[in-house]
Amino acid sequence: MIIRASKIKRLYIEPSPSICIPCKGSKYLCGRSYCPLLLKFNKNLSDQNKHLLVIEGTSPPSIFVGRYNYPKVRIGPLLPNKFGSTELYDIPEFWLTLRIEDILNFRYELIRSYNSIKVDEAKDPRNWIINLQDMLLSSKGVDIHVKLKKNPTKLNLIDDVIPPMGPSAPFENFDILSFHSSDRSLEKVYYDYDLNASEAIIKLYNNGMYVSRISKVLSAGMLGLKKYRKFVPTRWSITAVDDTISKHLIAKLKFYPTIDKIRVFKKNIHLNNFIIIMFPEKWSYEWIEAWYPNTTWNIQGKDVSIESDYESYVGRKDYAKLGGCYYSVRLAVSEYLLNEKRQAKVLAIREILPGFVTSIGVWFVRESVRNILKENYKEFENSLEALNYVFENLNISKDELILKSKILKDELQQNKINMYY
Amino acid sequence: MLTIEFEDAKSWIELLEAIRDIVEEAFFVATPEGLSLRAMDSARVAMVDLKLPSVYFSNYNIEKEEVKIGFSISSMVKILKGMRKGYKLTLELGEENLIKLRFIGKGYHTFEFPLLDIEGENIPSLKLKFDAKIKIETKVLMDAVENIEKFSDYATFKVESEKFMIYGKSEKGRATSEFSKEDLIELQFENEAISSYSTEYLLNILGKDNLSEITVIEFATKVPLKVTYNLENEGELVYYLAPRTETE
Repeated sequence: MIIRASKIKRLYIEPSPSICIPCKGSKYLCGRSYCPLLLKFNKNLSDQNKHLLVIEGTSPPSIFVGRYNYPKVRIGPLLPNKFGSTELYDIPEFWLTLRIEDILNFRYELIRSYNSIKVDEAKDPRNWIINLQDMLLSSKGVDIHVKLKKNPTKLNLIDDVIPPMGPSAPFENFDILSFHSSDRSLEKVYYDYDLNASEAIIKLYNNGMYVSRISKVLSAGMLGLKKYRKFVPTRWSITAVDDTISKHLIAKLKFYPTIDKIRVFKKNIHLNNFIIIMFPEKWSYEWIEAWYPNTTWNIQGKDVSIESDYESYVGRKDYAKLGGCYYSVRLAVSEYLLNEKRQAKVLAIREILPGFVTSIGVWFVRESVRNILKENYKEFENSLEALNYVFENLNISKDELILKSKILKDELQQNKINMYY
Repeated sequence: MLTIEFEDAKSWIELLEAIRDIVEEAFFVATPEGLSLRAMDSARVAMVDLKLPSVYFSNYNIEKEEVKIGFSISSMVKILKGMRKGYKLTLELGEENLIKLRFIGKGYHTFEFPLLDIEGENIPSLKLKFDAKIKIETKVLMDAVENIEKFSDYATFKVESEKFMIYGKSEKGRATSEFSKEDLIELQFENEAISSYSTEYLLNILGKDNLSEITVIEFATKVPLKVTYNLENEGELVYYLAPRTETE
């Protein structure tokens, strides 16, 4: 049957905070095949890569694994068309002190070259995959020559979980031009075919490897039992690593006593107002995002849009609706508590203030919260005083926040048993 | 050091199942009088007080004045789940810091768990004065709270003259259950009382009809709710649930 175009109804809806905040350009909840907001941020691109058919440059080293068409995904080296020391381009752990525009500038230089391959080919990798994995063993930049099949697209990659990246192009082949010594602790895990992926992630983390690098090797199918090795889309690998490590840390911190008094940390970073409150109780965690009008996911809204996600002492079984950020912040706070040898009930709030209209990846909240927790905090004996201080330092209305927060509701509306001793 | 025998393994597993939604790790204390557990949930909103006197067990043997036994309830329940029917159970604690469970029935099954290496906290008794005491069928009370949970995060308990009410409301609507003295097994009250409690907790505490068909509840205005299940052979499982700050 032929359906005339005029008969097809419009099935998509206009962007609004209630669909854009849980989606963040990842689920296409508005019914389009692309995110209209991300496309808007992406429009002023230079044409410098337009005629490129060969890329020669130093990869940080890095790769990109796409998630479209899973389980047949796009995978290949990520590199700029220049030689030099590009290590910083792919270590978000060092980016917090940089200007956002500088980060965008160097990230957009990274071209995603790719070839399509099935994810389970990681258990029996072909030669070019082995070369790609060898490249990731190096902790220094690796020089590469890539012959492209066609010119790169004009579109950069902007995503709420992944750091931004430049345009993409399929490659014909690539050659590694320089070799550096491999990272020995990584090499050990890579060749250990009997170590499961979670244990491998924890081992690398305990050896001091940056989480951004662990997610990279996970995505390249370099970790886990031989028969289960798979390529993991970059976006999923970032959250999988945050989730796996923080779960491990939380299980450990539950053996420690609670903190003695309430601690409140606060800081404003790049138009994001963070407040972290720790109560002297057993572990539980809530993450709240309040998006103001004229911010990435609430671009045309008139009201502040607040969303929250919570887990009790026992933990959660489903995936947090706020996605990657929830797990990145959980990692930062559990690292802090374990370092203090204490546990606590943690409420972390992020207000995204008008003007923050980009999406730069979850590294931003992870590194922000890690940074804030290194600074001084204010201590309170009682929860009313602490919460008054919190409300004074937030822009959103107290009542709206309480309505959305399980921890605040419990703190203000639920008595504790120990009041009746 | 300690040997305890349950005539029916099911009673031990059902007790653990009854408290695991409130307490993650349990620290039982065994004395010549019997086995007991007092623990709070991680948010300190609810408390469990379990007393199993030595006569509760078919055999109870202790060589010390006090023995502490700490373990993760949920992991023990998970492992023992298949062992419920028709088995006799012996729980033994030796010197090697292991708790040993032996199921004797169709075959002879042994499980050993390492004891938790952390001290349980000493929780004092609560000082509470109640204005109302109600005995009600376990299932009837649970059904009423389940209805209220569909409307509200908390249920208000109220006693006035000869009537006991539970209700909850929100923008979704309102649910009310009313019981006259005749509907209840027993109703005693000294003063009118009204207090609200979290339905999430109530659902974890109420409805344990495999332990007792009758639930005894006691409360007063802005005072924790006391929920008692009288077990066979003088055993007793009590829960306390702190009230919400406001009553609606």
